[in-house]
Formats: sequence, C-alpha cells, structure tokens
Amino acid sequence: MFRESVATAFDLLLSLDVRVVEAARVTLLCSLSATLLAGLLGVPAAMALGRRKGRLVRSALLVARTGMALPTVVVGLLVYGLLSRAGPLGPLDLLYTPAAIVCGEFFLALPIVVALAAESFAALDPRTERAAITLGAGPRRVRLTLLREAGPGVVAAHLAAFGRVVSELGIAFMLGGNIAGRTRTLTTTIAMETQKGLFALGLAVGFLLILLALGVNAGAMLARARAR
Amino acid sequence: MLAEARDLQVVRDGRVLLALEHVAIPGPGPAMVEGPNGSGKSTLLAVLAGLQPPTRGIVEVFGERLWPAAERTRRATRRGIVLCDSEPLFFRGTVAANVAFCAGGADAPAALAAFGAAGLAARRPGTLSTGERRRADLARALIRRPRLLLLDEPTSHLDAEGARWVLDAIRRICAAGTGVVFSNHGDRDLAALAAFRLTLGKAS
Amino acid sequence: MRLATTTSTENSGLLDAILPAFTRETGIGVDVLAMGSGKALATARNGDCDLVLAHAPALERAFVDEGHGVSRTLVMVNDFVLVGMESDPAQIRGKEDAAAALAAIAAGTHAFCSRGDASGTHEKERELWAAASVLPAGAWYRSTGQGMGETLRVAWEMQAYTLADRGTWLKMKSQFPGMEVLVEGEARLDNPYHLILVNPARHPYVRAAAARRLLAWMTGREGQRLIAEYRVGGVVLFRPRPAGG
Repeated sequence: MFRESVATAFDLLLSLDVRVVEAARVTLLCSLSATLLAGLLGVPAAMALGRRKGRLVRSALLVARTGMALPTVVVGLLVYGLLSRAGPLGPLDLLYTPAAIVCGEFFLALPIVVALAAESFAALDPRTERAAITLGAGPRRVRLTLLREAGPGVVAAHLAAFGRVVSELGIAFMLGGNIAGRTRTLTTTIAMETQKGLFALGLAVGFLLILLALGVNAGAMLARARAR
Repeated sequence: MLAEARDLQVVRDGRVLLALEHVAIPGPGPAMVEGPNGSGKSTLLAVLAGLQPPTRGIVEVFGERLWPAAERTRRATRRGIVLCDSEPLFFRGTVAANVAFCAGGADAPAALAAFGAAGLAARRPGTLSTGERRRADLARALIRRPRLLLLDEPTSHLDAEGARWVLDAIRRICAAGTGVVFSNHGDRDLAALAAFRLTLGKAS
Repeated sequence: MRLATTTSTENSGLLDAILPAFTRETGIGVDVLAMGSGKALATARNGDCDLVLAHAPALERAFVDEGHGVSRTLVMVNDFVLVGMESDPAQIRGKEDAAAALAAIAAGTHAFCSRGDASGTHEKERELWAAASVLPAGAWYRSTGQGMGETLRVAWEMQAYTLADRGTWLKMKSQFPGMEVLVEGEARLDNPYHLILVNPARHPYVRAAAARRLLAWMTGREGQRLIAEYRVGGVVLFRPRPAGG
C-alpha cells in the first residue's frame, strides 16, 4: 500500500489532477486566511500579555494554552451552531462556504498564536521597552520594536498555528460540507477516499498535504534568510 | 538647574529602592551619584530619565515637571534625555541601524565617527567588544542631541584604556553643553571628574 | 442550491453522473452535501439546505409531519442485501425471509455489525429486527456508528454479517474477498429514495423554485432515464420509480 501510495502521489502531482489542485487551493486559501487573521488579532493580544504580569495575565495565558488543545469537532459544532440558519448568524448564509471553514479554523489557530507569541514577547530582555523609550520611541514605535525583536518567535507561532489548521479535518467537514469544487479540502478528500476504502489514494493525498506544508515552511525560512 | 528632586521615594514589591529627601543638581555637570550597592543609584537615573515612576515625590528636569505629570508632557521632556545602561541593550540589525534608531534620518556614520567608531557601522552589536559597545551606545545616545545624558556606571567592565577614553568623552560632551549625570561605584578616576557629588545611603 | 443526501448515495456516484446534465439544461448548479440520513434531515430542519434526498422512510415521514418538508416524492429504488462470509455459520444463505435470517443470526449469537447511526440502512435493520421480534443485544451485536463503507470493512475484518445497500456493496465488494450476498430480493428489503423539499413556509430563504425544478427533473423523463442507465461495473444500481407511481 505504501509503494502504491507514493506512486499515486507522483501521478496526481505530475498530472496536476484537477480535483487535487482544487482541494489544495481550498486548503491553502482557508488555512492561510485563518492563520493570518489569527495573527492580526492574536499578536497584539500576545504582546499585551507578554509585556505585563499579574493574575489577570496568568489567567489569560492559561485560557490560551488550554485553547491549544481544542478538539476540532467541538469547535466545528460550536461554530455550526452560530452559522446555521437555525442560529444567530444564519442570515449571513456562511455555512458550507470556505468562509465558514476560515471562521472555525480561526478559533483553532488563535489560541496557538496567542500562547506561543506571548511566550516570545515575555522572553525578550525586560529592558527592551525602556531602551526604546529612552531613545525616543513613541508608543507605536515601541510596539513595532517589540514585534521586530520577537520576530522569529512570532513567525514560529504562526507556522505552528498553520500546521494545526492545515491538517485538521473536523472543522473543514462540519462547516465546509466537503462540497466538490467548493469546500473540498485535502483533508476532507483524504477522509472521503479512506471512507470509500481507497486507502492508497487517501495516503497519496496525505503525502501531497505534507508537501504543501513543507512548501509553506520552506518559504518562511527563505523569507527569513533574505531579511537578514 | 539640571535636575531637582524632592521627597523622592521608589518602592517596589514592598522594598524601598530609593529614598531621597532633596537634591538639586546644577548644570552642566558632570554630576556624580555614588553609594553602596542597593542605595538606588540606577533607580535614581531611571527616575531622572522619565522611565521609572516614583512612588512619591516631585522630580523636575530643566525646570520641567517629570513626575508627577501627564504622560504627554513627560514624553516631551523625555525627548531631551537619554539613559545609557551599564550594559547597553541593542536591537536586531547593524550598529548603524541601532545608532539611527528613532533618530529621524540623522547621520549615523558621522555620529559613530565622532566617537572613533566609524568602522563599526556594518557590524552586528553581538560581535563587538565591551569598549566598542560603549562607543556605539554613546554615539546612539548623542546622535539625537540630548540636553541631559545619564550614564549608569560608564566605566564598568572596561580596561584602563577604555575607561580613559570614556572619561575623555564625558569631558568633551560636557564641554559641548550637554548635561551629564553618571553613577559611580568605586572608580576613583571617574570620581575625580565630578563637578557635583550626590552620595546615597542604603535605602532600606 | 444545496442538496443534502446520504454518503451511500454520494458514494454510488449517481449524483456526480447525472447532476451535470441538470445543470447544463437549467443553468442551476447543485452543491451536494453528503452525510448520514439523520444528519441530512437535521441540516434540512435547520434550513441549511434546500432539499434532501434520503432513504429512511420513517424518519422522512416524521420530518414531513413536523412541517419541515413538503412534496416528498419517490425518485428511485434499490434494495438492501444481507451480506456475510461465505462460511455462513448461521446458514442464512438463500433464505427468503430476511427477518427470519436475522432471527437465526441472533439465535446462534453470530457476529453482526450494525450501522448504529440514524441512517436509512439502520432504520431498515431495526424494522427487520422488530419483524423478527428480536431485540439485538450482546457481545455479538456490534454497533459501529459509522458509514456503510466503514461498517462493511469492520464486518469483513470481524467475519460478521451486516445489512448493506446494494449500491455501496457493488462498489466496494472487491475490497472484501470472501464476503458475499446471502439474502436478497425480499420485498421488505426494498430501499426507496425520496426527494423532499425544505418547507419554504418555514424557511423563506430556501431556493424553493430551483429545488422544485430539480425535483421535477429527477422524477421526469430525462432524470429517470439517466437513473435507470447508471451502472457501476456493468451493473445497474437504481431502479427508476414505477410508472404511474
């Protein structure tokens, strides 16, 4: 089965099988969007938490760290309750669209970004903020400086979040509906083919998913090297 | 008057870091703050830099109220003051980038050259020797033409030649009109420079 | 528009084969959501789809009675089969009474795998147990809680009997050597598929007009022809609705 999967994976890649390309497109679109949105909200939150101390901060970090272990089906169910026509956000008609997947994956990614990025900010030399201020940095410049100093850690936090959402299944299935050509992701494809008993095909698509993740991580490393 | 403080006290986590009834530091100095470990020398410099809020007391620099004051007014006063730590902290990037930090396009290489550190521009701070870091830090501080320069134990960790260079630099900076206040822990040559002495006793 | 249906229907490939013809003719696209019958009806109850294609008559009737669905219409029929290993320890091969076959399995406490989900297959299975006056319980009765494909696999691995819809069986039987159809053809094993429109009076935003067109098309001449012609591995999977039915 392993050999057959590898062969199938090559086949699918080289022939640019349209179903696989489409699934990869949906996967990338949803996972990248969710990760970036989580960063937009999560990094400022992480910076606020990393700079300060106290009981409130510790509680918030506890919540964030616990949130890293959210089961995807639970998130899927909760967001489904929100987006379903029977739910409060029903009229937005978001269910079974890529936007719904992004919504669910956002909640999966957010705690990871916050918890790990906060760690990076907290690990900075505590004099960093003061050093920036005495040299004339205003509040906005101070925040940018902290962000830059914690840069690699913040990027790593995003890559960790991306890894989590790109490989998750529960949310994509429940909120996306695995609709061919619309919300069928690489992971829902794997689940579907496996359910049909086509294990080799499922594994092959799995290899492609790993390849995709490899590409994203390699891209991040390249960007970092070039920024040096 | 360079700086004046009245009824100053800084308490953190229940410990008194600094207690000072009154001090009036005349310009341009150089003024020295001395005292045993734990007497609050670094804390006083941080308060004068507008970075450390005191628990109690009134602090004025150049006649402008630093503490207690609204953050906006303090920010304006703080712009003319720079504090240099005994072990300077540099950000990511080259020495030149660090010198130019928030300096509004001023000439970093020229600032470095003024301290004989022109060759350090493209280096990374992590690769510099202690003396070189001191030069870069001073260049970084003075590029923004502060009215008051605060130096925390400026000769610490330096060899004799490095220390001599720092003393000379302090003389030059003062002569150019910038106010200087430094803390000292036992360096006699540094002490000899002082035009004004403040001795702190053990705070708690 | 959105059509919710069962995984077995989706897996049979019928919809992939015939819906494009509908889209070509009418310009209306159909998004297919595949899930168990129970979940499909729940989705329809929430108004998250426009129509349902299911094969769980009791659940469907309740659905319509509660006012969630309208125009429940028969579209096609296939049948269920009792499958098991060729060794057939309960000796049910060729029995003409499916309920009696199940009774024999229970009497001998031979391993049996049940879907255990709110699916049409599970509903039919429960009907047969009731007809046999047997309440299946015990270590021999395994509830997988999963789809038809997984349940077949579990049955095969455990050398157990199970009830399967012929469509999924035909598509997947090559994966289960040694397993074969033991009981078939009895009237009670019929598996009717109905299309139900989500009640627009309850959910005004559903695309009722488009849904009606699909209903009309699938029960009309063209749709029925395509259904009758659909084959997997040379075998016809679905019988069109009886004429005049």
